Amino acid sequence: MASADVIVVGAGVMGCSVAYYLARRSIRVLAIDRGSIGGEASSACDGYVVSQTKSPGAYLALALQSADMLRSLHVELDADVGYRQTGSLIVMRTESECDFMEAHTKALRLQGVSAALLSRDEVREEEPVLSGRLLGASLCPDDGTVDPLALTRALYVNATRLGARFLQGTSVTRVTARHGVWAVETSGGTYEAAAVVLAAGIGLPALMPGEGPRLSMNPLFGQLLVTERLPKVLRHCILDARYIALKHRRAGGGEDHDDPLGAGFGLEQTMHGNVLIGNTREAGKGDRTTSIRGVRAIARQAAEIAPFLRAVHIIRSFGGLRPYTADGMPLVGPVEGQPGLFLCGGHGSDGITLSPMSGKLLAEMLVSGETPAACSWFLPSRLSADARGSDGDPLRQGRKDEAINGLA
Amino acid sequence: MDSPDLGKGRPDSTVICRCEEITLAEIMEAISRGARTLDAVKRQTRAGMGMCQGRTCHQAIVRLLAAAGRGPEQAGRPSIRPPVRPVLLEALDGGEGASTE
Repeated sequence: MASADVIVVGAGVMGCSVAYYLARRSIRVLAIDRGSIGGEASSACDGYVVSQTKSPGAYLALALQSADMLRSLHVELDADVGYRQTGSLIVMRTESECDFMEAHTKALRLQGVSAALLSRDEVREEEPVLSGRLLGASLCPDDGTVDPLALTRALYVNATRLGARFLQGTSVTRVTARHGVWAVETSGGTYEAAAVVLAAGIGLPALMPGEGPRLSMNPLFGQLLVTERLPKVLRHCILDARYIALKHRRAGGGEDHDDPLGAGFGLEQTMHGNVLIGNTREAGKGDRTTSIRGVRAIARQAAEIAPFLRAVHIIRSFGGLRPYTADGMPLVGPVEGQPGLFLCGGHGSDGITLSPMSGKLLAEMLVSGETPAACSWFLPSRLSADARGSDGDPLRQGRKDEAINGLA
Repeated sequence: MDSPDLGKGRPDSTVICRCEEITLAEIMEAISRGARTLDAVKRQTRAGMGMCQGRTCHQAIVRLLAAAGRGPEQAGRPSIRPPVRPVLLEALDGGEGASTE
């Protein structure tokens, strides 16, 4: 007998979002997680909802739509998800960063993002605690931040309110199709449903049924520091241009081969008053233990960009593994040749921002059985297409450029 | 703290996590929603996320989990991350006082 209409594997922010948007359509959902709600990457990250870091094109368009949803989500979820429209500042420390940001903000403005370059003095006016040695910054007043824990919890609570069931502490060992029904084998028995959504982040490839396309994830480990609670000192989310320049120069996760820690700078003050300082981007890390090297790299940048932080207490370091796909694009949609199997994951460092729109689109695709053409760049079917076409990076890169340039 | 059921008979408004001001009622709600470990309770409520990083409240939460049928083994230990005690950022910046390595 079917355990539910749809089984969602993974109850991080993606799984909770999928469960919520399915439950809203009166679908009976069973979500299964080996740990607890949002216990992995979803609770070990920052909360930036920042358009300025995105590649212009379809990816930015998706991020803007999702950010719009985050602005009003507290109403339908009847919970404060911590969304604050703080604006974002991207600070520049070298001439080449200024050149990059001039071109980047131009491209952002063409897509309706109100990003404007500020002089050194204007930066000091906008954010007085920043170093006077910065060359400038770009400001986008529409950007903001959300509380990842509060968002995940609110999606989870609302999904359960609408009838979704969650099994925590239950490991999924195998997912197979049997006579048109999906069987999900777990440490607590086998569950059956007409459809399965894999939303297990870096755990996604291991769950793919045998004949499906081969998936790979290249997780990047991001470490952050958290300070004691402070009175309101920061107005904006602050990131550095170096990180954005690096991210956009490379396909995929954008690891920096010159700096194995890949430390890009980011700063935000949460709704609770703690300042979050991040982020490293380390390839090839298997666990979530923070390192003194990583902590130091972040602290050094923080002291340089926001000197007041030198005299602030750090109470904890923490980190999460960001699920990057081979082409750096998320996987949202049905799996070709496996009717009833869907993926929702691989959002890299943007999982929190992209979670509402991804969950909503996945629920729409699952219920309607249709995949809009505008979604083609994040559909899992692009992986089989890549496998058929060529095994090299050029095609994937071409696909990414196409996605970036061909505005949906 | 003789009784294993620490929560029994205490008002809902009893503060369990002093740093983040999380009450007994909030902890019990998280447990009733399925939180089964210290880390799960922490993520649902913020208990243990403050200045003392759970030094004060973790034992109490372990007792509450035990009363809900989760022994200390199952409740798990909280994930420990540096620094052990609050430390000024400048001490991590490789400047003076950097003796953390």
